[in-house]
Amino acid sequence: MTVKVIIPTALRQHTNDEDELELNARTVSDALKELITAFPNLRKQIYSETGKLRSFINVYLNEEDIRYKDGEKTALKDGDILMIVPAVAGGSHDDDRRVSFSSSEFARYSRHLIMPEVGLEGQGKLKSSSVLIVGAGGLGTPSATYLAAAGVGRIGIVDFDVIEKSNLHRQVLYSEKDVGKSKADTAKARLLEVNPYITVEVHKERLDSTNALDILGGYDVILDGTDNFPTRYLVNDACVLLGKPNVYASIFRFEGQASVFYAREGPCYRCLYPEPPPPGLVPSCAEGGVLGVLPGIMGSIQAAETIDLILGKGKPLIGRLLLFDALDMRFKELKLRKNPDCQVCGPNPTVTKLIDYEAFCGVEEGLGAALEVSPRALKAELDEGRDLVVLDVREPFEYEIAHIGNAKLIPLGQLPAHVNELDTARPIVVYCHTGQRSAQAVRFLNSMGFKKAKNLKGGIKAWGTEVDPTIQMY
Amino acid sequence: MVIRIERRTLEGIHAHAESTYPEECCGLLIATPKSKNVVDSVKMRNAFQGPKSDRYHIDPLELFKADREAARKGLAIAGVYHSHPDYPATLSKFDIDHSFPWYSYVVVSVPKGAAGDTRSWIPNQERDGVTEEEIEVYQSAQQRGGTRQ
Repeated sequence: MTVKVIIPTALRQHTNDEDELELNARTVSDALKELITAFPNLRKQIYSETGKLRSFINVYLNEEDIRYKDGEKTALKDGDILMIVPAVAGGSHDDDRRVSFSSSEFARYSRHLIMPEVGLEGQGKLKSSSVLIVGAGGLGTPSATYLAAAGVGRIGIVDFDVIEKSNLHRQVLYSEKDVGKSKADTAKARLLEVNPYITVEVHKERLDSTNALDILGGYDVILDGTDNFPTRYLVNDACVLLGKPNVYASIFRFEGQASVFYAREGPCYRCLYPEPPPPGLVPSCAEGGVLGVLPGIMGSIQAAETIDLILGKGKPLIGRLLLFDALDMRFKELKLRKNPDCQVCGPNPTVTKLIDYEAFCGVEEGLGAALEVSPRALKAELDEGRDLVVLDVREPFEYEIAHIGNAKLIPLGQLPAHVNELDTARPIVVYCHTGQRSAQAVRFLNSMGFKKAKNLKGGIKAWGTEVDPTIQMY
Repeated sequence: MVIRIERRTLEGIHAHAESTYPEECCGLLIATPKSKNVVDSVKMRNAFQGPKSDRYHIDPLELFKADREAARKGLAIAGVYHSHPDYPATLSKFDIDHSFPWYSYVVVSVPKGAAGDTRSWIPNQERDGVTEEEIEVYQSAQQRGGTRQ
């Protein structure tokens, strides 16, 4: 194969002033050998003593790096152009010396720098550290804001969701104008406004078993701001497998918990909760509600723990579970022990790679079409005057905000006690806010002999978007 | 060892270093073939993916194109310049690890945004050390003519 080799101008002194050479070769390796046969002085420039291509030499074939092809074994064809290009990089930052700061960074971090526990050394640790925040929601946004402001050099954000109006009462990084925009992108833009001296990376994808190790592997500390069990177990297991600390918090209504799960030094999340709760038992924020300021407090605790871990100062929450009650304004602390039989961090683990967490947590499958009715179908039945009972299983205050027609209200928790108020012979359509509580109600009613009970798919939220936009949404 | 840099070229390098502060700038030193007689400089894009306040990276294909362009004019790339915002004009260990023994490395220190100390270095073949070379600033005949006017 006749190919052309182009040599950088700096090497012309070794090539009798030639900067191009045509030669015959079948592979890149052959071509380079031909080249150094023609110009023996080039050998030392291109190859090391051990006969390997020098690390600062890039070889490009038709403008593509051969490292992304078959390396030196890459086959050549007639007319190919091979280019030898020096790798040029550098910079004042040395991996093995203290990080440097510009004068405006000195000013920005001065209140840190004057504390001996942080100082220049600690601030340098923060600058050269990286933290991944899983979930840019109630917990992720306050923690990200403080970590960015404090000068954590590289922050990653995993979130594929968009901002909804109902997020704004607690996710204070976002404003009204951001509704509908990507959480990760919006958070990145805001964090860089807070501190332009850091880098923010976004991962707009659903974290799962196929990508978790790759994404988490690129960061020093992982901060868990997730709102669901599959992702929480996934983050825990991935952190154990990667040997990284997992700064955890969770929130529900007025109560929060926080801990640092670091299997190298203490228990992991599975030591505390080997199995997820039965699906549907623990409501999400969307179902159970949450006090807006609570994630601000818990997320700030996560940020403080993350900074302590990076600085290597203080006593981190490893082996301790911090409980916070925003109504009684009280903190409590529980000791956690490493579970010697832990499936993932114990001495004989059964979980040695990531699993299917949706299946593990038994994420609720739909009831099936036979037990569901769409908002439009319900509307049609009501319009036809069919004999049916519409049953609302939400709480009275939710009923007050909005309800469908003259629905009968029996909150889910009271359903077993009041089930005798219902008639097994009449068709029943059950609804709640989004369709999860009502699905449980339908399962319960079916088990009690109510064969004609069906679930309103998507709950009153779907009713509001699909049938009656005038009802008050929440 | 001496590297000769034409005055206006050096001024251009300093201006470039100040314009990218607090990020590092980078560019090429264009010289007459097989010499250390720098007659021009070419600004390059800092392609480093990350904080550029203490790192630079020149995209290989962009370097290749600049090299071809120099060859077309009968010139050659004699070296690389880059800036060190708020850091001395010495080569860091990282610089040396990533240096290229064919080139001179001119480093401009930019304390608080103003270009200052400028020094030139040549890495040895093993890339475990560097030799400083003197920078001789000269005025081209054309410029000298210019100052007479």
